[in-house]
Amino acid sequence: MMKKKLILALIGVSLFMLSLANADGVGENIASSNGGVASLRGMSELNVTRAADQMKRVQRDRSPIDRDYVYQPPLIPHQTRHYELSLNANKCLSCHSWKYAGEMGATKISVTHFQSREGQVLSDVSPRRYFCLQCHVVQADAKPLVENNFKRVEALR
Amino acid sequence: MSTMENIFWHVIGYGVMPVIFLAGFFGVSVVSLWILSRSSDKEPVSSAH
Amino acid sequence: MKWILLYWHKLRSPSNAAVGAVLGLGFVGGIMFWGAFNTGMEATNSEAFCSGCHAPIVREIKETIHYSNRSGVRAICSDCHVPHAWTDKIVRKVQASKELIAFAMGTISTDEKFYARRKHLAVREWQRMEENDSQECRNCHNFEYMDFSEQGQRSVRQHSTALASGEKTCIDCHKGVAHELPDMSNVPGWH
Repeated sequence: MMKKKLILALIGVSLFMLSLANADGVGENIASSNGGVASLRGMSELNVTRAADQMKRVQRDRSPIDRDYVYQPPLIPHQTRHYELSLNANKCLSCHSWKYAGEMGATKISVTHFQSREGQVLSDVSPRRYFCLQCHVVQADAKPLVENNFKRVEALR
Repeated sequence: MSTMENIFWHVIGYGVMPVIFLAGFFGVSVVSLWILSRSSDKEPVSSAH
Repeated sequence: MKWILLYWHKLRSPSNAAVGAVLGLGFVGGIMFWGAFNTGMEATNSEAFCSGCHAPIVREIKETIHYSNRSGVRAICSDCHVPHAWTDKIVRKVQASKELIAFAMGTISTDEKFYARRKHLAVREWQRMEENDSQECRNCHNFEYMDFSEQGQRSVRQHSTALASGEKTCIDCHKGVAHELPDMSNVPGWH
């Protein structure tokens, strides 16, 4: 009886050791392995600090960018470094408001920006549209994170 | 700044320039006199007027 | 009064020292005075000094292009706010006696008081810069040597028209380039 138990125990231990020897991943600690799964960090292991990517740059000045869908808030084709957008000052409107757009050669904000939530037309920019950067974004020289084959609707191509 | 205030500061500002010049002269002369009194201009009797 | 008469008497009497010694003392003394005077004045131009009263503004400049940028060429408080020419600098420094009084009275001694007074202070500076054709900007940013092929489209458009014709000066459009802005209602060119 004792001999049987001993043999079983030995087999158990050796199986365990074998499984350890065949474990996937680098090193002995299974918690540092990424298990062969790629992520936004690429293929780097969990316990490795991967080198940082190059910082993305915003192109200084481009011509207006075509929209991808009908109600898209147009993308900002220029840099906006240190343009203040606060309760005190709205630098965007210094060029894009109806008052200054002609003089500055900039796109006017659309009439939708003068409408309240109920569709009532106001005499100045509606407070719900005052903070431009909530919808309009600057473009950096970055590739899409996820490849996709989105195509615009025929009328906008 | 109003024109009045502008004129005021310019008048005072330009007026201060000769003052700086003169103050510098007097300052340097007092120090120099003291240095000279310590060496070559020593009075045979202590200065008492 | 006695000291003044004694001093005058000493000035008028011939000296026992050699002419060279007296001239040398005067020359060296003059140089040392001039150096000390200007060093003292430049000390009132340092960021640390301005920060003593205007700390919130000095905090705000840290995110701007004049503080840290690609080339490392930068400007501190005095580069923009104190005229470079000696005579104009002295006028401004004498004017600063007004600020000494404000310091004594604690006009902007707390952040809240500063923010309340910010528009008044800003308007004064803008007006000063408009009147001297943004001279402090032009001390570094020389219009004659601007390379329009290096500037972005929007900059070229504005600089080659309004700035070139003299219709506008730097500060007319570049308000807020170095600090955050006060309430801009009723300021021309702003919403």
